[in-house]
Amino acid sequence: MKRRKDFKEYLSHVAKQMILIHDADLLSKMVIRTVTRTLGVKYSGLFLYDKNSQEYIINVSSGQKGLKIPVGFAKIKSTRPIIKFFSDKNLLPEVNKDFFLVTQLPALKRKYKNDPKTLDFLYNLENDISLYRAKLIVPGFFRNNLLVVFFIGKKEDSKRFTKGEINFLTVLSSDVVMAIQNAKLFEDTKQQLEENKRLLLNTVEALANAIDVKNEYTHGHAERVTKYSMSIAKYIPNHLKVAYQSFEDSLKIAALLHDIGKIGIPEDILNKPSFLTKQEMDLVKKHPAMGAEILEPINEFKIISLGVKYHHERYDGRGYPYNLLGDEIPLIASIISVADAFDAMSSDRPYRKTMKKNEIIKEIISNKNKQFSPIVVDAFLKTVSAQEI
Amino acid sequence: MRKKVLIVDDEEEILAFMARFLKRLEIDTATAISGEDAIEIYKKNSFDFVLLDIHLGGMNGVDVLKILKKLDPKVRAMIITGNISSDLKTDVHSLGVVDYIQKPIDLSDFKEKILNYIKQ
Repeated sequence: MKRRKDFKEYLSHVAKQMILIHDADLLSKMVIRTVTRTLGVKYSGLFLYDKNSQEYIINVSSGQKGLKIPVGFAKIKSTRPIIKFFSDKNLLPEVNKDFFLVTQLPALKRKYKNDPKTLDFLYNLENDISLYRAKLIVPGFFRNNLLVVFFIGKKEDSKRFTKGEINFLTVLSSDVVMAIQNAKLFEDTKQQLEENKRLLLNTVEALANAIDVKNEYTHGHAERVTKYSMSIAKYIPNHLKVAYQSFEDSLKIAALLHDIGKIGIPEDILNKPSFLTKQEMDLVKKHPAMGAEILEPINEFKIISLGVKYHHERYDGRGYPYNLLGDEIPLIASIISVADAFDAMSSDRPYRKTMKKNEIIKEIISNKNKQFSPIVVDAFLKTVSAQEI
Repeated sequence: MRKKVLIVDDEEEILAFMARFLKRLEIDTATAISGEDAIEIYKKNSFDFVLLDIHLGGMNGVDVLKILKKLDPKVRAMIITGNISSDLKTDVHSLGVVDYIQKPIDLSDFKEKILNYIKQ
C-alpha cells in the first residue's frame, strides 16, 4: 500500500519534470534512471521511434549488471517481433497489449501449439525478449502509433512484478509519450520560428540591396553599416539596450534598412558628382523620415523604424530632420549614426577622397558629444582596439 | 570447442558491451582498444573471427586489416561502421572482410551474422 502511494507521488513529480524537458534523449535518460531505481530492477531501457529511419533507436539502458548499451550504438527494426507484438493489432488479438510479461509465454505457446505460424512468432518473440533480457515490456502509443517501448529487466530481489508496478509503468509510458510529443512540438515550433526569422532577414537584405544598387558610390554600404553596428552594439552595456535580447535583432534590420527612404530620391541626385543645391539637399535630408514612413505599416518594426527615422540626428541637436537632442535620440539610431559615418568616411565619395582609418577615428573622437553619443563613441573605440572594425 | 573472436573498437563502452553480448552467445572474446593493440594481441593468439570498427583513434581499420592479413592469410573479419557508403571505397574483401554492419546496429541482425560466420 505504501509503495503504491510512493508511485503516485513519484508519477506526479515526474510528469511535472518531464513537461519541462524538451530534449527527448535527456528525457529518456531521466525516465530510465528513475524506473530502474523506483522498481528496484537490475536494468531497464527503451526503444524510441525514429521517424526518419522508421526504426526504433535504443535510447538508454541503465543498471550496473544489465546490458549497458552505448548511446546510439543499437537499434531495433520495426519488423522485429517485440515491436510487431504491440504495433500489429491483428497479431494475437485476444491478448492484452497494455504490457507483456515474459511469464505469459509458456501458456501462449501451449495455446498455439497447433498453429505453426503463431508458434513461430512466439519463439521469435521469446528470442527477442531474451536478447534484451527483458522480464516486462510496456508500450507507449501516440494516436495508435507505437512511439516507445520500455523493456524492464529482472528485479534485484528476483520477485514478480505487482499489479501496482505494472500499472505505474503503463501510466508512466503514456506520460513519456506526451512529454516526447511535447518536446517534438517545442522543437518544431522553435525551428519554425528560426525559419521565419531567416526569411524575414533575407527579405530585408533583398530590400537593402534594392537601395544599394540605386547609388553607385555606396555599393555594399548597408551591409557594412550593419556589420559595424553589430560590432559596436557588442560593447554597449546591456542595461542600456531596450529589451536587449531582441535589441541586436532589431539593430541588424534597422542598419540594413537605414537608407530605405532613399528609394524616393531620384538617382541623378544620389549620384551627382558635384555639390547639391539647397533644394536637392532638402530632399536628401528627408530620407530618414521617408524611410520611417515606408516601415510604418509593419507593427513589429516599431523599434526598427526608430533606428531608420533618427540615424541622422546629432547629439548636440543640430542633426536632421527632427533636431533631437542628446538622450532624446534612441540608442539604436545613435549606433547606426556612428557606423554610417565611419563607412561614409572610409568610402570614395564624389566630393572628397577616402580618409585613412586613423584620421577617421580621430574625426569620430573629436565629434564625441557633438555629432555622436558619447556612449556609442566609447563602444566604437572598444571595437577599434579589439580590431573588429 | 568454443570459438574465439577479437573485438577492435576505440570506445571502451562498446568493447564491454560487445564482449558481454558475445559471451552470452557462448563465444570467447579478446578486446583491443586500438589498431596497434589489436596487432599485438593477434600475434600472440589465434582467432576465428574479427569484429572491427573502421574508425579507430590511431591507426585506421583498413591498415589494421592489411597487417592482420599478413600475419594470418585466413583472417576473416566483419566491419562495424557508421557510414557504409563512404567507408568502403577500398576493396576490403581481399583483406578478409566477409561482411559489414552499420551503426546503430540491430542486435538480432548482429547475433545472426556473428553466429553464421563463426560456424563456417
